[in-house]
Amino acid sequence: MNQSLELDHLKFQLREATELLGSLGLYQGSKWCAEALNGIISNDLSKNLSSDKKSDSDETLSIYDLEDNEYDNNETTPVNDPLYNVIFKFPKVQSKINDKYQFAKSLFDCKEFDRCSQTLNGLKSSKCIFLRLYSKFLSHEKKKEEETEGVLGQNDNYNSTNPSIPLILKELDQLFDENNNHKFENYSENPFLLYLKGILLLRQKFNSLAQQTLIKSLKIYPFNWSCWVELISSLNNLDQSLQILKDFESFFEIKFLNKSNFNNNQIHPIQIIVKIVKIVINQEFFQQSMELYDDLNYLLQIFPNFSYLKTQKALISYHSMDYQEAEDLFDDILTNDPLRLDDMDIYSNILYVMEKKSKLSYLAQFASSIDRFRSETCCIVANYYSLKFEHEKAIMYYRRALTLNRNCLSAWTLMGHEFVELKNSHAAIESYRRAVDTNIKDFKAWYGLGQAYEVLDMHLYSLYYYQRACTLKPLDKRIWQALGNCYEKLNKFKDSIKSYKKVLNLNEVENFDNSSIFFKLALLYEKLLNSDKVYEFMKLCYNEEINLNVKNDETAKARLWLSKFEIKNKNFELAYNYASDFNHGTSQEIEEARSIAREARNRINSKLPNL
Amino acid sequence: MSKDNLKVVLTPSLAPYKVVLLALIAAYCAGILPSKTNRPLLTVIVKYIEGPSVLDKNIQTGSLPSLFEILRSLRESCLKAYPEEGSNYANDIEIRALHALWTLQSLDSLYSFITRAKSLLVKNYREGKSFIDNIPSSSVPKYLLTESSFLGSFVLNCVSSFESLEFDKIDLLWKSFVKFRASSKSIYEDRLQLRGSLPSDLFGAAKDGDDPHLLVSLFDKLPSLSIEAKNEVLLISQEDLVNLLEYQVKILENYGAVTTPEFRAILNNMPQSETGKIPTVHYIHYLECLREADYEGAFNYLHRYFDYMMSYRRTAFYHYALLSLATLYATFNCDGEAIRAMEESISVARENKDVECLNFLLTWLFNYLKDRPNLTHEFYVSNDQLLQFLKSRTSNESFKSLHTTAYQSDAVQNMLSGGSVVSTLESLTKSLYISVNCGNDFSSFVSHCSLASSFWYRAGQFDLAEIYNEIALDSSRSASEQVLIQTRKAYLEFTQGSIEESFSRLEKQQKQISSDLRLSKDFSNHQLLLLTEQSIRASNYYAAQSYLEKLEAQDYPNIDMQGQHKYLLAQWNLETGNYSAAHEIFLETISTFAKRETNKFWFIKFNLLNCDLFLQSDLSVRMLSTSIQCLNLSTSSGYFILALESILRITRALINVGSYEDAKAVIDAYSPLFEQSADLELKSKANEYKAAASIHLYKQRQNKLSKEDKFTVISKIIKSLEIAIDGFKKISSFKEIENCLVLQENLATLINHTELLQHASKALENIKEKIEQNSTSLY
Repeated sequence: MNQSLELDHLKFQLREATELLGSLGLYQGSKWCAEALNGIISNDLSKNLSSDKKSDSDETLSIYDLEDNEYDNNETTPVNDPLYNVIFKFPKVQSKINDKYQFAKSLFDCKEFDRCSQTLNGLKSSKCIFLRLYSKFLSHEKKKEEETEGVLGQNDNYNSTNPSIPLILKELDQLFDENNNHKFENYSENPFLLYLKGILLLRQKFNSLAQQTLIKSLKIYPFNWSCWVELISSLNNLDQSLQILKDFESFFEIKFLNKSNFNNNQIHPIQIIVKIVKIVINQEFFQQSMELYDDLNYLLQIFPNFSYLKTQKALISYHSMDYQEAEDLFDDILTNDPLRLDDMDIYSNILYVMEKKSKLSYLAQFASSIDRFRSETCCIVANYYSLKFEHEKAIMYYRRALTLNRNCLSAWTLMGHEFVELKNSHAAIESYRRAVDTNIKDFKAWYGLGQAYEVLDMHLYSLYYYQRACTLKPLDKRIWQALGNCYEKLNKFKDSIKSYKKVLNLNEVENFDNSSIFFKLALLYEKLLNSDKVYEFMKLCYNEEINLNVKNDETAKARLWLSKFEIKNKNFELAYNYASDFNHGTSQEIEEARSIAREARNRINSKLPNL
Repeated sequence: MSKDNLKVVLTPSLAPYKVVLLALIAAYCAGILPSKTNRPLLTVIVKYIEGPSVLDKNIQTGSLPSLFEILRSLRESCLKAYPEEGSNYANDIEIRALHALWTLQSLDSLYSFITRAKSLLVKNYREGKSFIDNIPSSSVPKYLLTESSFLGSFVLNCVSSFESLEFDKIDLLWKSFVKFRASSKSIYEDRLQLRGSLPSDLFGAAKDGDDPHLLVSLFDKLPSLSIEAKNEVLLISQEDLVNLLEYQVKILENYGAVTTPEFRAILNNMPQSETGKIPTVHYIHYLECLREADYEGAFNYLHRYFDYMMSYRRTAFYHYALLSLATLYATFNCDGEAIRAMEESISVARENKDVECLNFLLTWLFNYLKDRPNLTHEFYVSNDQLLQFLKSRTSNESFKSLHTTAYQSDAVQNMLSGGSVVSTLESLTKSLYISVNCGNDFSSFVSHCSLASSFWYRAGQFDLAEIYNEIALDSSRSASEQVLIQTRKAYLEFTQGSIEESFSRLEKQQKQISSDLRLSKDFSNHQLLLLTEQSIRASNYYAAQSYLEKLEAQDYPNIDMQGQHKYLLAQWNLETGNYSAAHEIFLETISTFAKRETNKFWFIKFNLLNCDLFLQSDLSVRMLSTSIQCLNLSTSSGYFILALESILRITRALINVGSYEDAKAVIDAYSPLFEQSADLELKSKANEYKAAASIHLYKQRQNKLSKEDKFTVISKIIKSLEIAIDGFKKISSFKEIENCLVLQENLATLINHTELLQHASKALENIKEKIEQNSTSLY
């Protein structure tokens, strides 16, 4: 068995998953699998993979490129190969039941959820039960959405629960009860019923129970991408996430990989899925490591045209503030799949940060031309308006994005930023709060909350939120700086000093201007009456001016402080040097510096022997 | 590109051409153009901001200005202001404007350009002054605009409406702006000697690396692009469209101008939701349907128009709605429905105390009912009473137009009922005075001139009628009105004997009327009436019959046309020997619309026709008495032509009864009047009768006359006959020529003049042959 056949195995499983998830109405999962399937390197090109050489041609391969012959009679599935066993399959049902299911499914596709659920009433097959309960759940979700009358509207109570959830959960529990097991099916081992239970528990905020159920589901059927998405969204700390991943790896190793017929040198498709999940988790927790990049590059060799993976890479670059790299990656994604709007809001964030107005305007035009009513498009347009200082219009578009997709992650946070710009801290706080309620891992929202409370002079609150942000992204110096500032305001000078020193550690890059941090630290030590340290940091601040040729208020103040310090210690020449070159600062400071220089010069002159 | 694929999108106020105006204003404020260009530049800017006006000398159909049009206006304006240097100034402005337009290279730069226009504005003079004081003199603009100024409010309106646009509308604005300026690229390149390269984007990307080329190239990959390419998007501001529509309604109502295909495409391709916002669109459709005589379409659009008006809670429009409905019914001759709608309209107007509308309704009603004397109604007791009421109620300053119409109606009423010339002239003079002082209301002045022309025509003063026609023609800008005036001119020419000129004049009008079905119907009726009359004169009875049949199939409400038709029908019957049918027509008309009390003119005219019937029945005495009555009636009402006709009938009757001396005395007495009259037929007839009477008298007295006297008398007779024959020849009245030749033959026999006899006999033979030929030929 060679690597090429292994890719066939992966394709086979993804193909199966696409079909299965699609037949259950799990469209996002199905779409993901299909995109992955079409993003896989072709068999001919994969031969180069082992020699670790990248083919030139795969770079130009787009998912829309057509085969020469659309009809292929040669493709056969080696049915006897145990690797090609379907991992999960619903038991066969009578054709009459199947007809009903098909009818119900078409109703589901037409979004007639109640009718779909009604059609499947009384049917015992797990597939029918899943669709019935899932459509019941969606029906109430839809009604709940309709009742809220818009985002942040009068009836927009995001805590309102879906009244059908307890009923569905009760029914699922009854089904899982061993006594009630159907003679042909074990419901408690059905990955999709477990998945449904998992998402319902998540809505009920039973996080750990939900995670357990989702993990159980994924262990039975790991190709349910929808389930992975729910699981990842429920994770709120990195350690736990990594533990779960480890758990999965060992479980799959025992279950699939240690089988006698599997060559240990090869990678099983499930391992690939787990690798992808690992990358997503690391990305979501803002991790950067060589291992991560290696895994990503490896996967990109297998899936050279899988835009989702490319997006993950771009997001990692974005989180590491390598905006140029992220922009290039998004350009590449757009070139290969121009009509894919998924995650393009992130691309617009990058262009926003890079202040590329013109490019952002074209992106907004482009996205509008594809689909005006996608939340991503609205976010892009909103970002454009924000860059044009049209904050009200930006908020309007963020609202629209949220109306289209209440779970649009970035819209809540970005809307919060806009409210901050409009000096409406209270509205900003609500937006940020909704953002963290939607995605607890959104450090920007936590950070935003901290900023909003800081504006309102509620520093203790602010500190809490900065700490939350810091837990999520401990290597972000902006958060540490904010923490330092907060501690200072709360008179916790030592903690403040620690925070600022952390910033200095993170800024250990050449030619980076740390003058303001040095100055802050000096002032903090001044408050602690540690004059040696004050001198040390004032000197460091001054050195920044000398070494990096940076002239700002801090360096000027440090220069003035040093000149005063030296004159006090009768080091008149030094004092003269500090004060004589003082030319940046307020008129009062300049005057003060001049008088010090004069005094120092007089003192120096008076010391000199008469000629 | 087919106009069917046009997609019309409305914005509150912005449209691509306004970007050009903004660029021109910015150039003016920055003072980068020579100060001499300010006047022509501002003239053009103001012209386009104000939009088209009905008071413009050149009436154009409503359309949105194109870039070329604006540039052309700038050039014209520069040349007008400075005939010598104007061309250079125009080049300067053109280059500036095109440069400003072509430096906008992306949506973002358009965005920045429009929002930066705010910097031209200051709240008031004081703020402007303090602004100028606080910035370095090098960056002080030449002019700043206060927000309340004319240009300032335009800029403010543009900027604020741009800011209120949603992104997709901004995108559309950008796309339509790109299309709008596309045609000027070659001019711009020529002017600046640029080839292939465009100027740097002044308002767009300023940051390094902000290179949108990748995204620009991706637009080609959009699948919707191929569909969009087929659909041309036209972005119009709602504000402009409302102005254009109002303008279009006015020119349609007043001048009957044709809607351009471009404008029609805009109206037809407006989405339903947008047309709901601007109900006038339906009103234009209504007016157009009315022109095309599409009853159903007009009816539907009128209802749709008022339904949308109602949805805007404009309930006060209800009586106007009913008035329009009545007009619609009246246009299509649904008299009963028209009266019902009018009744309702009057009662609603009364309820709403809308005096202006009420006066208008009554004026309309008078004009409507005067043409339909048989229609029973309970609106008012008598026309005189109504007119008295209208004259007194409309004397208010604000109803000037109605006031002049009231006097015109009074004059019409006088002319119809045969009132005195003095009172008609009085009303006409008053109407003229008011309409001249009415400001810009040309339509009432034109209608006054038309009425005056008709009056003088009936009074036999063809020169005055002609003058009034000319004045009306000069003053009128309505195509349909002009056609009617030309028709009247053709009638005048026809009466004066210039038959060919008359028909060729009518022929020339064909082009004007092709698009207006109602007008073309009216016009062809007039043409048929003249053709019939001419055919009867030329004894071409089959042709006349066919014309009359065509006329019979028409349903026309105009009372004069109806009268003329009936008259010609009776005359045709008379000429073809159907005396009883002619008599029946006479009886019918005299008891319906041509009653003595209501329509004296036609009453007299038909009675004169009756005289001809008497003549055929040899009832000369009755003929004499009737024609004397007619003469009395005509003279008291100033119907000069009818009076002359009466005199001719009297003469004829006298000749018939053998009172040649009296006949000769009468015709001699009125001879100067006949000479003065420009009606060639009457003049020729007078000469014919004069000759006839003279011949009879000569026969009786020849023995008593001296040789010289004989010679004189015979010479006079021959001269009269020659004049008559010449006249009749000119108007191709063959029967009358025959009569004259018979007289000539008689005279020749009487005086034994072989040569004359031979000549007369030969001519008589020829004319008989001609008559025979004409009366048997089909056309």
